[in-house]
Amino acid sequence: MGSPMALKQFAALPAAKGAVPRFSGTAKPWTQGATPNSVYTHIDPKTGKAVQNAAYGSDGKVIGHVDFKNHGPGAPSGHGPANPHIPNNQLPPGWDTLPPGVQPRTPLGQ
Amino acid sequence: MGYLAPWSSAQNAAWSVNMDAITSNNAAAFGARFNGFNDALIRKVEIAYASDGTRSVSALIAAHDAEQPSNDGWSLVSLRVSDVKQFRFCEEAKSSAQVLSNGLHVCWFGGSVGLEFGDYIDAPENLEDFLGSKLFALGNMLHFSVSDYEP
Repeated sequence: MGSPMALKQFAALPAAKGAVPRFSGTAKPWTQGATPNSVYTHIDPKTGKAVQNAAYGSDGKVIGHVDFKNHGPGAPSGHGPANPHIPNNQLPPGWDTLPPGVQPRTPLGQ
Repeated sequence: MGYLAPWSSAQNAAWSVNMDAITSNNAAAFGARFNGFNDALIRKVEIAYASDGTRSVSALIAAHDAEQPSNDGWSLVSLRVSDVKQFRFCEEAKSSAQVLSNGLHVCWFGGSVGLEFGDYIDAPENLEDFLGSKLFALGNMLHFSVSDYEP
């Protein structure tokens, strides 16, 4: 399920598929100082499965998360009253893409 | 010049009067009420040293609350670990503990209770694992209170 922090910043990512620099690792995603317009996949060191993608804007600051881990009963409300989760089918292109061979801990929507 | 009087353990106890205890018996219900604190936001973390040397760690967290009818179901939750034995709050330059993407893990180890602030993806399996977290407080008691959400 997606949990973007700022809907207004969606356009910051390049639309062309394949143009997004992608990184992965077992460390928690940075919140700033990342490669601009990139996506980082946080991998669970115990299972090797993806638990989260972090998407970064043109300034290298995180602009959204896509969680591949159950967030409790329905993950009802994102990061506050004004920041609801958005439906999975409305995620910006590429945000939910995982590195080759990496499985999600929980597939989106399950 | 002002003088800040040492916070006493008696004051600590008095402060806890208005807070509810979290025990291993009600922890599941507590977690369910706040959706495991998944995607909750840390507002403040405070370390208090009492005049008798005891320590407490308090956190203010904005979280979704199943019992909150307003503010889109969001509340502010105050959590307090008393008689703290160990704590760590280590945040690296490019990271932030603010968003609890992995939730808040409430753990019991013998007579101790700990909060693990989502450095781990899952709840730690044992005390050794718990103490390896970059974000934790371990003490003897855990209390909470809830107030209305404020931006």
